[in-house]
This record gives sequence, structure tokens and C-alpha cells, in this order.
Amino acid sequence: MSALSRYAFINAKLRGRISNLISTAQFQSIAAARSLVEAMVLLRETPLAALETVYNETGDLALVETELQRLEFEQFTAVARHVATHANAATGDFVAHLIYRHELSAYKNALRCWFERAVRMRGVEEKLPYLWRGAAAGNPRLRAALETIVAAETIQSALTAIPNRSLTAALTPVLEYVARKGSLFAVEIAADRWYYARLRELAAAIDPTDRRAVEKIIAIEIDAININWLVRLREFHQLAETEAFELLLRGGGTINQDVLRSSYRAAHPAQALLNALGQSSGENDAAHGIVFLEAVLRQELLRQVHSALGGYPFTVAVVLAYFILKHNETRTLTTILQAKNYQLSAERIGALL
Amino acid sequence: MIFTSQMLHLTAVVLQQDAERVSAALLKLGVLHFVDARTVDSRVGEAPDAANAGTQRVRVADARRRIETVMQLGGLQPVFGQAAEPNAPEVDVEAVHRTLDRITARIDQTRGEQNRVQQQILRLEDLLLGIAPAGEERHAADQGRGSSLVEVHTGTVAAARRADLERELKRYPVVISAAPARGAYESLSVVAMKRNGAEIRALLGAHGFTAGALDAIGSPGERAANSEATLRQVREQLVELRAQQTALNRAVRETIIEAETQLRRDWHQLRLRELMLTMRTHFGGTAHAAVFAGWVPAESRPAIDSALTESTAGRCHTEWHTARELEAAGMHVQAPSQLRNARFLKPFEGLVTNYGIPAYGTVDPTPFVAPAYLIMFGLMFGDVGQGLVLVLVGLWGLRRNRTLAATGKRAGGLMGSVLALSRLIIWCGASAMVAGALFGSYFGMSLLPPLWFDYHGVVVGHPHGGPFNSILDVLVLTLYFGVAVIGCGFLINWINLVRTRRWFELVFDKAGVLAGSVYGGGIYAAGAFAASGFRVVPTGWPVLVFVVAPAVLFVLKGPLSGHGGSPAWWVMEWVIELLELLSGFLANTLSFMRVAGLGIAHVTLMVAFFQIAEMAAPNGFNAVALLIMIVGNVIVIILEGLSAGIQSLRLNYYEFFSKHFQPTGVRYQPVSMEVAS
Repeated sequence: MSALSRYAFINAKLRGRISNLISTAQFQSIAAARSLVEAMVLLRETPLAALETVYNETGDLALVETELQRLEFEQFTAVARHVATHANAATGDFVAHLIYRHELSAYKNALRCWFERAVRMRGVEEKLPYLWRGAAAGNPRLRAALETIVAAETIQSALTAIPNRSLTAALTPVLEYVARKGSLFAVEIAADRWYYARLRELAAAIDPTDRRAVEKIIAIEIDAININWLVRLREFHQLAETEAFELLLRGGGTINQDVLRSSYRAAHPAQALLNALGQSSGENDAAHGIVFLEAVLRQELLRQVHSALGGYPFTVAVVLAYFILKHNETRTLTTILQAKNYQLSAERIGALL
Repeated sequence: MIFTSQMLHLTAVVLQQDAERVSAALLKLGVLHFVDARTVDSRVGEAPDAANAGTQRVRVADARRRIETVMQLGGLQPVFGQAAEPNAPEVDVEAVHRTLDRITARIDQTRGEQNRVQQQILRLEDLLLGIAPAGEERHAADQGRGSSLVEVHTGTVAAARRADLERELKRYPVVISAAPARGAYESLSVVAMKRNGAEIRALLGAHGFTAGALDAIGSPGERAANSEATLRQVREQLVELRAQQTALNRAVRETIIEAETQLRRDWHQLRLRELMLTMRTHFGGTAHAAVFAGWVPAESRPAIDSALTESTAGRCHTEWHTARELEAAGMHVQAPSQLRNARFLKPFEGLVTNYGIPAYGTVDPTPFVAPAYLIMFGLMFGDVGQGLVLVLVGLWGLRRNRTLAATGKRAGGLMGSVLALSRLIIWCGASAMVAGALFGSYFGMSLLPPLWFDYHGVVVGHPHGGPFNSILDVLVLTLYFGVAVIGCGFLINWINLVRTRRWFELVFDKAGVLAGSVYGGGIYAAGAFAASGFRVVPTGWPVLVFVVAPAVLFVLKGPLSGHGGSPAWWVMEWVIELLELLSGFLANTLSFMRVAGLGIAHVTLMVAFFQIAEMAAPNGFNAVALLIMIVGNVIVIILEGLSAGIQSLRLNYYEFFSKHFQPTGVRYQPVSMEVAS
């Protein structure tokens, strides 16, 4: 089967969907709304009008966010199913792993709930209904696993409840950090590391044209995640440089390692990284620097995605590009709605984005 | 109206003190298409308050849009009332925002209450999901063990402490069943999520709960009945909570409806103010005089004159010019094009403006597009039954759109587009019905004899009388139709060129007189060639006069164009243009054969479904055959309906419009209370 017959339909379909994503002007108008109630009404003019209905019927913003994620997952699953039917097995596995991100995210959330409940002794009952309604909606196996993770006595038994043995094996070596640092960050990084290692492994098995098209995007994603974690490890966990760099994901490389290391040693790593990237947040506080750095990295990723979309169209890159753009839409809308809920001004929201 | 309306250009000078009244008077008339007065006369300066008017307009528009958003939430649509008078005083925008803040705060409060109710719903749903399937859970409870997600705690508790215990337990997703009190103690069964096991046990312990055998709360039959009743109770509770949600959501709508009068009044004032400020942003002038300019349809001139005189008590100066006068004076001010078609032509006007706005003073092709589009559609999709379905779909679209508009779920441009599309579908359906009666096709069946010819019979090779006996006849018919459409395009182009006095193009344009002559002569020659059985190529005087001579005259285009060049260059240009012209004419005309092609495909598809139905019911009609026919008709309606619609549009755009249409016009957009916000 030629690349043309493999990707012609999905390419046209996904480009159609990409053109349907919420535009910057629509985001700006939602962000400029004077209240959450008004922001929700503005969703009527977008393909995500169903979210307004959820909000009107429940008044529950968290449920709106869960619905947003569910819709995203549903769309990704349909795309993955199409690719599995029309492309070869290797490409099918690659795309299937891309959507595994949702399940991985559900495990991370369940582990956070476990941590809150078992370690910090805080109630998590109010968070759980949303956990079941995300990627676990209509998936009793995942729901049962999440239940067991949340109810586990120890972190070991929580990890054992994850049905994916390979993932469990990847998370187990970093458990010492949970006790030592009183935080789950090492587990979360290990989960990301496992996800991207497997993604790179699967990318290596797909056709060379497909592989070339996706490798750069994956590398930028990995760099973005690493930089984000580095700043947090330094600012919030004060981890030694060697330890921090050992935890990081493998396979980035679009940013010089020496730059990363010297930034890690700086007083404000986020600002140092921004300077290295030729950017400036204009403010000196750490939180602002991190938010701005995240935005810069996201922009770089989106730039790469658009560049991939402008290239040879009949590759799996269109699927990866669509997933990233759609996820970016979900993330941006969630940020705006949350900000509206906390009555942040349009300018402040603009800075967050 | 075949041509765009004649427009007059107005330049007016009024005193600044009258500017507000003048704006109101002009808004009431709603016919002035403003242009920047400085484009007419560069000596006119920016009005002293222009920047302020611009800023104010943004603020007013922002508040107006906010009201619209809130009204939409309540299912309300803002409209100018019948008796709208443009006497808009200054609007306190901040007061409007305060009113809206109060309303949204109340809504926010209600949403908060909804959220609290939703938390209860989620908890109960979570529990139901955990113990589902209910049968398994009951079985598990009877067996004294929990299912995978829930566990059952059974035992007794002092009757006096039961209420406190229940209240605290309800912080978690639980189902509590109690047996009638036996003495000072009550038997209790608590179904809870396994994950809350530790917390539940701690609570039970703290309230003196003594774990015991299930028998303590009755016989297995009683327990089953009790458990069933509890689940029913949970479900009833869910129904009740959902009803509360619906009521709270309704309360939001009522909050807005309560403020409807105020909202409508504010919106009205803001919109008027916004329009007035829009006008003021076009004003130029000095500290004492305001200058404005714009275009109005010629017949509106007396109304404008009298409105200006009245609103300024005669203290105004006006100048009126036609577009040609301005052009002669060397002013490059483009007059806007006003299309004035009858209401029933509006959907087709949409097809035209979707391509472009006709240049001022040229032919508005809408009255030609409507019949051409419908004839093409009918020829491709001729069936009474399927046409009727389209009519019904169009009517449903209209009705649905009105319902959505009434509930505020659809507004603005989208509403207009859906309305126009629905009306177009109705027209297409009607055309298909007429054509279907002419061809004798009713859902692909010949229920009545055809009024013109039997299309099905022609396609399958068994025509039952009529003027056409073979597919070739149908192809020739569509070619004649194509020639008529293209010929009409030539005529319109010549009219446009005469009206705009472009004499050179009238002769040498690709759809000019010479080209038209070549096309007409070519059609005559092709007809004569075909009539001779494709044996004799016509060479008589008509060919010489109408084809050869104009084709040779085209060689003069280069030297007469004034663009320079050498004789060799002109000859080369002539040869290339001639080739392009002839191949273009051939392609344009043959392109209309797609009308026959689609029509034949339509018939063939229906025949195919009939044959499948016959195979499914070899001994007569049955339900499967009926189902196949229904599915077949649905597929044909969707596929062929879409194809016929698109191809008709394509033929209009590329074969008809390319001959004459100059989509360089500017839409006439007066500042008016009728214009959607």
C-alpha cells in the first residue's frame, strides 16, 4: 500500500479537523469575557459547543474539563482505529502508543490521589468522580485499576495495580525518591521517560519517511518536558545536578546539554534558560519565569508542528501534528476557563498562554 | 433589477452642533453607505472628536456584545423594535456593565448551587457504577463478600446513634440499609466503596457499631428486598437531584428573562449609540463644521435632502454627483453595488455574492443564475419523490433554524447561511419534482407517464415514445443548453462593456464581439458538420464571415492595445490567444455534457437498486426489497443531490461567470438599524 493511499484520506480528514480547531481570535474573545458564565456562552460558536451544555446542566467546571478530555480521547481513538486499519502494523502501534498518553495520564492522576490520601492524609473523594470519567469512561478494566491504585496501602501495591508490567517496571526503581523527597515527581518523570522511550522505539520501526517526519517533533517534545522538569527539580526539589540529569528523558537533543547544565546551576534556571533561548520574560520571579518558559517551549513545538504540516503530506506526521494541536487546544481552553473561574483578567490570561 | 442600482455620491457639510441630529436622521433613513470624506477632498481634516468617537464606539460595542451573550444564555435574541427611533442619548456604559455584573453574579451563584447538587449526583453515580451490575452486587452481598469495587459492612448500632452515624457516612458514597429496630439496637448494612474501607470502619467503630452476621438484618429474602429498595431509593434520589439541576438551570434562564426588558432597552440604546458613533467616525471637518460623504441609491436622494434640511434647519450644504461625474473629475471613489432582487431570488443572490460582488453599473447575474441553476439541477436530479424529500428537508431546515434562533442557540451569520441553504434546497427539490414529472420518475418508478420523455427508458435502452430515444439525444440536449448559457454570458458581457464604455474590450475581449462571433459561427459549423453525418466540413460564407474573418481580425488586438511590442510578438500573441480561445470554447461547451452524465448516473443508480431489490425478492415484493429501495433512495438523494448541486454551481461559476462576471464590486452597506450587529 502506497503512502498516498495510506494517508490521503486521514490527511484530508485531519486537515479539515485542524481547520476546525478553536482559532486564536476565538480564544481571545473567550479570555476577554467578563465572567465564566459568559465565556461558556461564547463556546457556542465553536465546535466545542457541547461543553456549554455540560456546564449549563451541571454548573461543574471540573466536569466540563473532563468532558473536554473525553472528547479529545474519543477523537484520537477514532483516528488510531483508522490508522490501524489502513497503515501497517508498525505505524498502527506507533499511533496506538500516542493515545496511550491518556491512560498514562489517568495512572499519574490516580497516583497523585493515592499520594494525597495515603501520604498527606487528605480527602480525595471529590476528585475521584472526574478520574473515572476521563480516559476510564467506558473502560471497566482501567476503572478497576485506578480504583485499586487510589485505595492501595503502599506505593508498591499502587504500582502493582497498573496492568502494564513494563510501565510498572520502569517506575519501581525511582520509588526511593517518594520516601526521600516526600513527592511523586520522580515517578511522574519516570512515567514520561518510559512513554517517550517506547515511542522512540516504535518510531524506529516505522517507514523511514514517516520516521524522519516525526523524529524532530518527538525530540522537541522531549526537550520541552526535560526543560520543564529541570526547572522544577531545581526550584522546588533542590535536586543535585547529577541526580536531576539522570532522571531526565532520553532522546531530546535539540538543545545543547552544556546550556542545560549551566542553566541548572544558575540562581534562576528558568530565566537562565530563557536567556539561552534568546527570550526574556521581563520579570524576575521564578513562577513567572516557568510559565513564560513553558509558553516559549510550546510555541517552538507548535512551530515545528506547522512546519511538518507544510511538508510532504502523506506521512504519519499529520496524525502526530493533529494530536499535538488538538491537545494544545484542550490545554489552552482548560487554562482559560480555569482563569475565568478565578476571575483573572484577560491580560493575565494572555500572559499564562 | 438586472443592473446594480444607480448610486449618487453625497458630500455634505453641517455645523458640529447639528452633527448629532444629522446622524440620528441618517440612521433613521439607513441608506447612506459612508466613505471617508477625505478620499473625496484631501483638504478635509479629521473631525476633532473622531478619535474619541472611535474609542467610545469600541466601548459601546463591547457592552452591546456582552448583553447579546447574556441574552443568548436566556434564549433571547436582540432586535430593533418596529418603532425604533434613533434618538440615542449618551449611554452610561459602566451602568450597563454593572447591571450585567449583577445578573451574571446571580447566575454564577445558581451555577454554584448546581455544582453542589452535581457533587451529590456524582457521588451517587459513582456508587451505582461501583456496585453495578446491581445483580452481581446483590449476590455478592448475600454471599457476605464485596464485589471488586465495593464492600459490605453489616452489624448493629445503638438506635440513638444511628442518625449521627448516617450523617457522617454520607460524606462518602454509601448505600445504607436498615432493618426495623429490635430493642435499643438496629441492624445496619452499609455498602461502601472499597477504597473508603478504612475511613468507613473508623466511623463505624467510633459510633459503637458491632459487626455481625448478615442474618442480623433479616432473612436472605428480606435482605434482598431491602437491598433492592435501597438501590431504588438511590435511583430515585438521583432522579430527584437531576430534576433539581433542571430547575436550577431553568432558574438561570428566568433570571435573564426577569431582566429582559432592561436588557432589551440597554441593548437598543447601545446599538443605536454604536451606529451613531460608527457614522461619526466617518465624519471629517473642523471645530465648527462636520463633513461627511457617502453613496445612496438615486431614488433616496429626496429623502436624504429633506432629512438633512429638517435636522439642520437648513444649515447645511450638500453636493450630489454620479459615479461618472466623479470619475470625469479624476476622483477614484468606487461606488458600491446594490443588488435588488426579489425575495425568492435571495438564495441565488447568495450564490453570486459567494463568488464576488458585481462591479458597479454592471449586470447582476442573479436572475440568470436562478433558472440556469434550477434547470441544470432538474436535468441531473429529475425525480418527483426525491425532489419532495429535498423540499421537506429544506422546510425542516427552516423550521429547525427558527427554533434554534428562538432559543438563542443559533445567531448571526450562521443563521442567515442556514436559512439561505434551506431555501435553496427547497428550490432544488421543486425543480427536481418538475423535472421528475417531465421524465415520469417517482422514487425511480414510472408511476405516471412522462410529460416530456422517459429518461429511465432512454438510459436502459427501452424508451416509451417521446422526442428522445437514445443517450446521445440527451447529450445533445445538454449541449444546446450549454450553448444557450454561454451565449447568454456573451450577451451580458457585451452589455457590461457598453455600460462601462470599454470599447476596446467590447471588440477584443475573450468574451467580446469577435470572440462571440467565432463561437456562434463555430457552433453553426459544428451543427452543420453533425447534420451531414460528420462527413462534410462546412466551408460556406457563414463560416468565412463569422469564424475566419473575426479570428483574423484578432491579430489587430496587439497593435491597437497600445502596450507596445513588435509585429512578430503580436502574431505570436494572436496565435496563442486564438488557440486558447478555441480550446476554451470547446471545453466550456462540452463541460455541459456533465449535466447529462450526472442525470444518466442518477437513473443508473436507481436501476441498480431496483435490480438488487428484484434479486432480494424473486417471487414478488417483500420487506427486504422495500428496505433496499428505501436505502437506495436515501443514498441517491444524498450522493446525487450533493453532486447535482455542486456541478450546477460549478457550471455557473466557471462556464457562465467566466464569460462576463467582473467580481470587483464593493457591497453596498449602509449604516442602518436593519443591519445585523
